[in-house]
Amino acid sequence: MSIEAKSETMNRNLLEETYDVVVVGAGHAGCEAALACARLGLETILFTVSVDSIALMPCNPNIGGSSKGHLVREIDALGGQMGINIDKTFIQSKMLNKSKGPAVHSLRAQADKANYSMEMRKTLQNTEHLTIRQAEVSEILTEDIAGASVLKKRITGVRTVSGATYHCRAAVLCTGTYLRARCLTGEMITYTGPNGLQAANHLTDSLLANGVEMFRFKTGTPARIDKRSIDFSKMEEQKGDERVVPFSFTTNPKDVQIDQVSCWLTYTNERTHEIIRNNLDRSPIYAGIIEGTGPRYCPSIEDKVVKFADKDRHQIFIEPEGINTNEMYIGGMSSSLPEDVQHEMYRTLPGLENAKIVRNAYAIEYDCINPNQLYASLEFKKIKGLFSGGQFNGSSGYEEAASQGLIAGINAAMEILGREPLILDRSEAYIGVLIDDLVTKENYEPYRMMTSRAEYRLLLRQDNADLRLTKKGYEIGLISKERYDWVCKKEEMIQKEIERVAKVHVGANREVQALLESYGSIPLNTGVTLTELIRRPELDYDKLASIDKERPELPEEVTEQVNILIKYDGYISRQIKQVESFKKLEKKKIPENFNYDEVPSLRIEARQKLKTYNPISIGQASRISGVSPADISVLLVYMEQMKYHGKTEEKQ
Amino acid sequence: MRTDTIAAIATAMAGSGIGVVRISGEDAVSITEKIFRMPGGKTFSEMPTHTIHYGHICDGDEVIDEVVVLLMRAPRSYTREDTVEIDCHGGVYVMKRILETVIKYGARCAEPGEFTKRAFLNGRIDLSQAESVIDVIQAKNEFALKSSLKQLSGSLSDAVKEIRGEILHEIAFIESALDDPEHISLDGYPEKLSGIVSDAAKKVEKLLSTSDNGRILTEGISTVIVGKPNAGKSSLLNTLVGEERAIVTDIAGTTRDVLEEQINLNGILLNIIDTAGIRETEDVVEKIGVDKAKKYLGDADLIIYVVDASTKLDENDYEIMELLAGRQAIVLLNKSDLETLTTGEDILKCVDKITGNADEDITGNLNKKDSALKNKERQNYRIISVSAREQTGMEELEEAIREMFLTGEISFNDEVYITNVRHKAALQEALSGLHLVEKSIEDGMPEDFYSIDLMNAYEALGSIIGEAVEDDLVNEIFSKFCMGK
Repeated sequence: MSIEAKSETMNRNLLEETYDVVVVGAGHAGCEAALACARLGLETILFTVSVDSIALMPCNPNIGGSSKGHLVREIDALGGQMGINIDKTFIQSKMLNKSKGPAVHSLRAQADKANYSMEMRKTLQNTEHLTIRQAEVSEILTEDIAGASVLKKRITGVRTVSGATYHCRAAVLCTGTYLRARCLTGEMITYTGPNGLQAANHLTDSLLANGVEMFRFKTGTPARIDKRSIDFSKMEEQKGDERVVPFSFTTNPKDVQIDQVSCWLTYTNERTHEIIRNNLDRSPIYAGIIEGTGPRYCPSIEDKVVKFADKDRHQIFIEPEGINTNEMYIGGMSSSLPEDVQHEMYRTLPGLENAKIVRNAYAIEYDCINPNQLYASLEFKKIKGLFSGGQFNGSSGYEEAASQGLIAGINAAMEILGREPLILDRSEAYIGVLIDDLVTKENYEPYRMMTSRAEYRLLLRQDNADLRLTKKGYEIGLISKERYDWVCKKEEMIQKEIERVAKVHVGANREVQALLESYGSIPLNTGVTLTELIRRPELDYDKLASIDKERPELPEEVTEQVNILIKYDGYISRQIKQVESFKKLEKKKIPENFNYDEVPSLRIEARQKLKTYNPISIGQASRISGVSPADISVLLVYMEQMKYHGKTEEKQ
Repeated sequence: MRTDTIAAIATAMAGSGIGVVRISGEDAVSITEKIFRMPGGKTFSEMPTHTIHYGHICDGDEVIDEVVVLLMRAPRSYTREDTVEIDCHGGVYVMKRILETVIKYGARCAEPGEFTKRAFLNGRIDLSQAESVIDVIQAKNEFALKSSLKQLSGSLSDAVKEIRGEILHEIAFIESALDDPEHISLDGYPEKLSGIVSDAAKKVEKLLSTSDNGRILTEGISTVIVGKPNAGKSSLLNTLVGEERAIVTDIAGTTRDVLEEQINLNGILLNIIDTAGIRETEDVVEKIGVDKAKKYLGDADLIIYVVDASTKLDENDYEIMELLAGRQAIVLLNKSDLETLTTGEDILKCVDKITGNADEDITGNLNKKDSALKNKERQNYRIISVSAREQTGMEELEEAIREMFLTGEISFNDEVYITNVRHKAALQEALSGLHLVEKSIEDGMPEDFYSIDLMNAYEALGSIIGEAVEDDLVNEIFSKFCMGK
């Protein structure tokens, strides 16, 4: 029975309420979206199928990691919650890639899952203007916008499965993996969301009825094993960093120097692989039962064994799920093989010989959208006031979800407040890269952030996320004046110190030569500036302290920036130059109702793609596959012509 | 849009006496200053706008050409940007060298139609012309793309693809390790990469070194050899081909008619067009008909007319020379080792008759003709005595071709050379990217910096074979390296 029919014949529920913003789903995206809206003073209601599953981490027990750590930092600099929440609830932390360049340093923390969820719930519950409601939203309510040149709707509210109506001015959909979800463990199929939670089976129909194009993706998670059944003596211990760096710029570093728990490393072997190979016909993926598209970067163990047949072993990380649980996450071994095969397979690993599984591994399939239906503001192009974020947009990962949730929430608020949307571009933030990739590129698998996707990554470091984004967060209204002032002051100190250091001349005296020698650095023949010495690979700002007599007392976060900006100046300047030319195209805005059919000489493929994506700028248009540089030239010339005719104006 | 500095050859590469290399953009003046040596040590950037200057274009110590340079500062120029025009000698070689030098010092090859586009975008061109600007951009782009791909020999494209594949693999490996440092280690990798990168650099260098003598592209001067039967065309061809310095290659995929021999004369590439039996029948005119011969001659950049000097000129010669009327040709008086029955003067008299400039017409009546016109027609012919058998006169032939080429008397498809310059610039860029990686490894820079320069090299090479980056890297990472949870 369709929703419409049901609501006409059966809906006698007269409950009606009105809010500014409705947020559907209380996962990592939904939490950020709801908090942003409520903190900006808008009456916000957050729907979840289960209040107990707020900010649930149904897969890996960590936050951050390569490039994802960057996202968390950026969320924090914009006034989001994820960084603060993990700082309160982590049980181990590591800065990854510390031996590599600063652009790829990435924080990753093991979370106490239950604590993480509880802390976020506390924060939500103590936020003014925010209402939490346990209910399944089954319908979005829209109306046609009269007089629009192309058919366009406007969101007016949502309806729950029980028939209650919630009117709103904007809505944010963050349904995660719950839409028409089904979980698979071998032949065993259950129609539930993650962790056996109730799926949301109705909203998809309502979206389809409103002209939204849906995709079906899949992902998976490994088994959880009882800690008491594991022999850790056969594994390598993985400890956290001695000195922990917090995620949030607001967290006092002293507060995160806690006793940490360990993770453990073990390996699969030929016997593991043999069991997997022998049972491939019982894998729902290989048997063709799964219809969704899975991520290549997060392959199941059966995928790894098949695709990388030449590897005789795979690393497996055993990670605690929290302090108050004895469940251990078996990182690297997600699977959808049947239960009996799983038992056999996990027990081939050194240390897991007697393993007792608490929860089985499973694959999960769910509905999501083709994100090319969104603007970079994360608003639906065809439904005004409807925004979306997270796995619903075809991404994967808690951090990717939270990033989008924050932006979608902010922009829902901006729209209601009649302000310009917050759109971060590829040169400003990983969040910008993430959203631009989602809405501009063709995406056929759950999208995961990677540092290699950020072409200006030397500028988008995790260490300077505050310098890049705090001002924007302040303008939006999510960052305090105090925090804003500090960032301005920090910027000034960095600049001053770089200028000072460039003027410090170092002579070839005995003290200097001795210092250089102690670091294996070539002695001086003639005087140089301190800047030149800092650039030497074997030296840095801190190491030269003793010969820098006039050095002022500066906070570490300032000297860190000074060191990086001086050391990698060549590369950084090059990227800044590239960004300048990139920005020029981003600034050439294409009017919303631009008619591509009127542009002569556009190739047919380009015309079709441009009509589908409806890019907001020439820059975005140039990144759509199938649109050539010549097409872009044609567009530019045509737009210039329009400008002369006074049809539009270029927003600079 | 972009305000980077662009450069291109503004004149057709046809045999006009003067060639113009145009530079436009913010750095047009500063780039010119680096390569333009003015007498009296004057500084180009201090010159006022709309002035003309004499001097030499130099690449370091090498003097490339004596030129006149026009300076037009923004906004009073075609593009409304700072514009410099270098008027040089019209030879293809010279123009190409100047363009290469301009690019070497910081300009970028203009995209097809880019000057016009800039002129338009900067409000220089009238609105009514907008539509035609759009058409020009699309048409030129398509043409350039087609010709670029067409010019690309299979072997070059294969070589570029191979190097790209190797580079991409390394980038993917580095990125996988950065993304998943706990699964993939980079210990000891820089040393390994160093070897791979220097190999790749050597391959790019090799491509660059061959790009100058023309092997990089199927470019070259299309050359037709004509002559009556037994004039000695085939032995001439064999002599040319048989020389050690000549390079003979099989060229696949050209759209020209059968193109059999390619000869490199001191860096100038001749494509000898074998008109379906020029050697077997020895008689173009008779075998393939006058029309077809006309077509070949019409398409040719260079005509070599072989005359048997040991016989008198006959009807065959007259027919050929009628076809040659108004064209430039090198006339080879072959068999100069035998008794000479036809001299250079005989040829020229014959030319006079055919062009109606003879002192006396065929009936013997005296004609009063304009001697200037007569001389002009006569100058179309360079006459050289050779002996294919004794191999004499070959050097003079080479010198003549070279001179005609360098002075621009020989004209040919200019797109080809533009393409070549672009390819060379791209190869240079790739090479400097690879060198930067080598330097970064040497300096002990962190591994993530390697992939930045490797990516630049990868992109530059991609521009040669017309492949954009798109999702290559992500695909390579996922397909080659096992990552993740």
